Amino acid sequence: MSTWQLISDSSGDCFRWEVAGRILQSDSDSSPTKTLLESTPPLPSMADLLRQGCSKLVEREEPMPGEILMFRTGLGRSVALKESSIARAKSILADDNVVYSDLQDTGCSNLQKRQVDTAGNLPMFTTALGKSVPLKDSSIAKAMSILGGDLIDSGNVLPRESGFGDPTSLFQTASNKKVILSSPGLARAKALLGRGEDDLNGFNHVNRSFSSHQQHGWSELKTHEEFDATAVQRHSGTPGQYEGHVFGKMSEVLNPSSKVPPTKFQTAGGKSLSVSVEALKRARNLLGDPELGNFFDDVAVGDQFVTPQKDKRLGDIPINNGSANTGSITHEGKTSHKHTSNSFISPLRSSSKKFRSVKSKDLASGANSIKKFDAALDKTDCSLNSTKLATHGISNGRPSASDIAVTSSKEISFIPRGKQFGRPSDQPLVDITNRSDTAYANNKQGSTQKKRLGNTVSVSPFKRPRNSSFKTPLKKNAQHASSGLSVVSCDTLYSKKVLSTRYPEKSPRVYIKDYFGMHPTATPKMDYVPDHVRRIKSSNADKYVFGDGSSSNVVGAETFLQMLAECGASLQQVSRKWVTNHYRWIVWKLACYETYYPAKCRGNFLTITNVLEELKYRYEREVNHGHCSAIKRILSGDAPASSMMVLAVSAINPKTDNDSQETHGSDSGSNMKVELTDGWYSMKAALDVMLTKQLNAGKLFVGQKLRILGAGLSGWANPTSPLEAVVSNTICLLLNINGTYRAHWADRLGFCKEVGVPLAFNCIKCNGGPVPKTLAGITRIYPILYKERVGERKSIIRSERMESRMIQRHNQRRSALIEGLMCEYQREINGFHSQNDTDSEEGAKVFKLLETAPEPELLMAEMSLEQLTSFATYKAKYEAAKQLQMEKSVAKALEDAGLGERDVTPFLRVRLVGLTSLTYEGEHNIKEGIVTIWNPTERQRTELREGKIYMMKGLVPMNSDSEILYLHARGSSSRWQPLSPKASESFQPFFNPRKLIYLSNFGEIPLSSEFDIAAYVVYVGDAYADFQQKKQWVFVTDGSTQHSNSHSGETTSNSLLAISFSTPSMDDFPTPYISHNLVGSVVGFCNLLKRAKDAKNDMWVGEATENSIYFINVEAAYSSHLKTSSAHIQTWAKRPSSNSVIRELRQRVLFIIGACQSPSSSR
Amino acid sequence: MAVEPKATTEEVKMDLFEDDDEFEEFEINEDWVEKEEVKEVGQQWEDDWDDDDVNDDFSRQLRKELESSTDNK
Repeated sequence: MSTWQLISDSSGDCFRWEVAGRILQSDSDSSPTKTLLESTPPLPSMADLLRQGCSKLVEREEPMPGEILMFRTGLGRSVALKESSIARAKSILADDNVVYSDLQDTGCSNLQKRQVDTAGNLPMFTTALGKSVPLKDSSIAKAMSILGGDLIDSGNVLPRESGFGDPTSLFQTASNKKVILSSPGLARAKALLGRGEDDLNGFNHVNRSFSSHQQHGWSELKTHEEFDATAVQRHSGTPGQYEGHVFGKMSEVLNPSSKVPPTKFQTAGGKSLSVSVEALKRARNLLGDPELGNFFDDVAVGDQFVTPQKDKRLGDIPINNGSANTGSITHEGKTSHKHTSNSFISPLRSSSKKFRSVKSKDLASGANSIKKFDAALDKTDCSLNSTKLATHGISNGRPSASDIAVTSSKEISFIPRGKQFGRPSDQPLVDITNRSDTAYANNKQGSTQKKRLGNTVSVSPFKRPRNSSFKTPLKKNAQHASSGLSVVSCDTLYSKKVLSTRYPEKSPRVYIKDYFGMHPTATPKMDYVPDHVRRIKSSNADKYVFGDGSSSNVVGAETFLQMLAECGASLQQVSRKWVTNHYRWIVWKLACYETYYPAKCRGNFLTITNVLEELKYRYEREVNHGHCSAIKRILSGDAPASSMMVLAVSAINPKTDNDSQETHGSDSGSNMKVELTDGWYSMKAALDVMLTKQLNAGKLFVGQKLRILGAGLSGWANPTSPLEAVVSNTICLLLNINGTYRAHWADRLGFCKEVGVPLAFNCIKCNGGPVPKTLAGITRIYPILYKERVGERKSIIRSERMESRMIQRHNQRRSALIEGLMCEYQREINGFHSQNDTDSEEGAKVFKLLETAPEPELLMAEMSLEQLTSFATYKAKYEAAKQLQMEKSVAKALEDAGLGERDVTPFLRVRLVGLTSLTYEGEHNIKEGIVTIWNPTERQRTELREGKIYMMKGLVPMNSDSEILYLHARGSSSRWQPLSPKASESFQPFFNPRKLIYLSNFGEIPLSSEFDIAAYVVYVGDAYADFQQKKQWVFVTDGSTQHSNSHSGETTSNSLLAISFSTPSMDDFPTPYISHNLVGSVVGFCNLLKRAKDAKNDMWVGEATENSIYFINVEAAYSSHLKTSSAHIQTWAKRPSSNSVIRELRQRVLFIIGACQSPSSSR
Repeated sequence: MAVEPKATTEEVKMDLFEDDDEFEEFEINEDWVEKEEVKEVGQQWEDDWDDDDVNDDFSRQLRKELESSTDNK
């Protein structure tokens, strides 16, 4: 053995090896040392060594002479360099040049050679975790045999420990766990992971020169330079091929800043993650047991997860499965609650196929689940030839899905790992850092997503699709037609291919109404229409086939799917279900045209070309433009079902898989269901009783278009694909007759952009459900009333005046009670604190002392700080407890006395009348209604005006037999929009303003009609009980009859009006309803009802109802129409001539109420 | 009649007229609806299901045809 020296070269920058003594035996050359010294070129310098991969060997700045050479590792650790070490290194370097170079190139850069045979031991490598790893020749050899036999990706396979005996090799996982690998195990692993040649088996179309650096396994995890032994990243290229990035790697090694922390995998969240062998095994098992004819066989062994690098190198072949996989799973998990697992892209397939409708249980089923996916895939897509399209589309020389995918593969934001190693790459690196990017959501969607997803889609770190753009599923480009919602973000996989140039419309066309001109009243030549066309119904249209009669040459929905694909439609976007569905509606529509406009259509409408063009149009709009029809929007939660829309009845009582029993039940009077369509999709709708009646009467039939407002949606919880919803019986629209109107035959289907026309008040059905919008005139606004709930089912309605009195009385009684309680409480107060001094004895003592002391101030001045503090604490506690107890006892006492909080709801009654258009020539059918507005808003209380027309929303009719329609509304939820005066002019006058009634013309007004009057109060009777009511009579006159009576001599005839006031007897109001003080006053009465005249007493009779109100001061706005009359009556009453009349009238009243008393006796 | 269709086999139906299922894509904005309503002229929907003559007779015709086609089967 010779000794070696490191000698600085002339530049001082480099060192080189010099033999300083004995000559190191060379394998190839056994000549003496001197010869060697002379003949051999200078030994490699340190830079050379480093370049070769003995990384991080840094020579000590000034090696001490005579000392053993010391190397300093990258971590600054000294490494003694002995001759034996050198020799061993030499032997290794010389013997296993290839291996070593491999190691240099890749893995050795991570290994820090700390000590090389310092004590005659085995060479030690230190792992990144600082663990020493002895390195034996045998280990190297073993590693060679295991890993290096073929194309070792030594960059990732780290022979951490080897050579500890033959049977086992110790690998250390990232978490410092030792993993004993037996030779059979290693062999098995090797077989499982595949050999370099195998890598290419599944992808023989892959450019081999790019096949190195295939990142196996978990490409989603960002790996640093240290890997777990099982997280094998292989380089299947030869060492020669590998040299290209050695320098890049070297620079990384030498650059301290690029030193990688000893992290095994870094998650998207920046978290270190160690993956053990077991974990990986489990993962593999979950994904499919490799031992059982596994899914790896389908592609390349060991290439389970295609790396982005591979994608790139595949050139035109779309095998970006890795990205698709990531994107789809995450996407689904977040956006489609109901279809979480409906779209799963096999990570294994070399095509861009997707799996749909795979239940989540399959995902969780463990072994062979991938196999199931494959099976599902085959089942779903085999017949569609999608594999062919995806993988061999290019060879067909026509545009296909594969072309599309190729284009988009550039957009995929995976970052090729190669870049980390300094390799040039066009693709971005896989970004697995947890960036909280706001997921993409276009503006349009933003406004519609608030109910469900929100603008920002937050995905958990492990679910976030990497850099691939993430879009919400419901609209625009992320609209996935194939299953509505459950498809991956499409533009990562394909680029838009224009299928139809008919959208956007280039030149205006006539609308269907103008084209056909008229509804098909005259179809004289029905014979033109072949029977097979006439037999087409919405329920069987999907099964219709075009053909020449021979069974072999038929064109049905299936063929159209292929046609679409050939036109360039992405089969990821349109499924067979999608095509079948649209085929169904297109065929039905065209067949209807043929049937009902045979002269115009002449068999030219229901053709393959037309169907294909319409399918392409729909693809264009739905897939490329992201447009959604009304039903799709409703089911996806993008639009409320209450929006106004026009749908057509496509089936009555549609049969579904699970409602066969229910449909039978419909005959027995239960509500019927219909199928409604917007021409694109369909959904069930449940009819209310009234609509069911119309259906049974034949007024609701297939083909009838309905304008629907304010529909409900039942059974819907999550965004649902219309293709899924149509087969289920759970989701259905709820229609009621007040919100469902017959539409014109040519009305455009779908949502109505125009403002909904209100339903005429006359057309409201009392049992027809909520009225979305109606128009009516207000004829009367009644005074606000207050309903107090007393007990379970009882309530008392009071006028504002009575309510204010009630409040006053209630408060007085409460105050009195509380006052009494307080007095009582003060008396009991001494006993209170004596029971509560346990927790602060000293404070209590001080408190007591001070309480009883004649001069507490003096005492306090002498107290210590502690005493004062404890006193203050105790006092605060005492006060708080006292207050609490007092409040409790007051509340209880009030409750016991029936003086608790009152449950009072204000409400406003409004009388409405239906309107008749000026142009209406039919019979006038005036319909009146009374709306009760509960908890009216301030605006409603103050701004509603009699005589104005209002558009009202949120009224709900009450079922009653009355001719008057009773409705109710909530102040906050109902809308009262006054119609503009101009718009109001288009209706016939409806309003009879309040006008003054005199007793002289009282006979002119009909019975039971309301009237307002100003009158002089002659007499106020006492309140008395009558059944469950308290009654009170008030007798008034207005002097209007005096003039006429004076001629007839009957001074008091028809001069009296007796008004009956009544209140529920349960209202224990002590004071009379009308005060006796009113006698002699002029009072304005509003909303009295005329009752039958008391002929016996020659007296008019009126009744005050809940809606009646009286004013002492008629200046108020409500009674302003009584102002003039009131003034006249006051003048009249003051006249001396009136006094006798009034006196006489009072006598009459007394006689009447006295029953037995004659006017003379009462005097 | 606005357009006389040339019932030739080459002509694509979609080019002849605009169908009733060619919906317009627009945002459903309730605020917008509210504003529009203020400007609205006085119209009301007077279709009463109890009336037979409210709707155009297309419906009746269609119904008749449907019934007859069912009978023919």
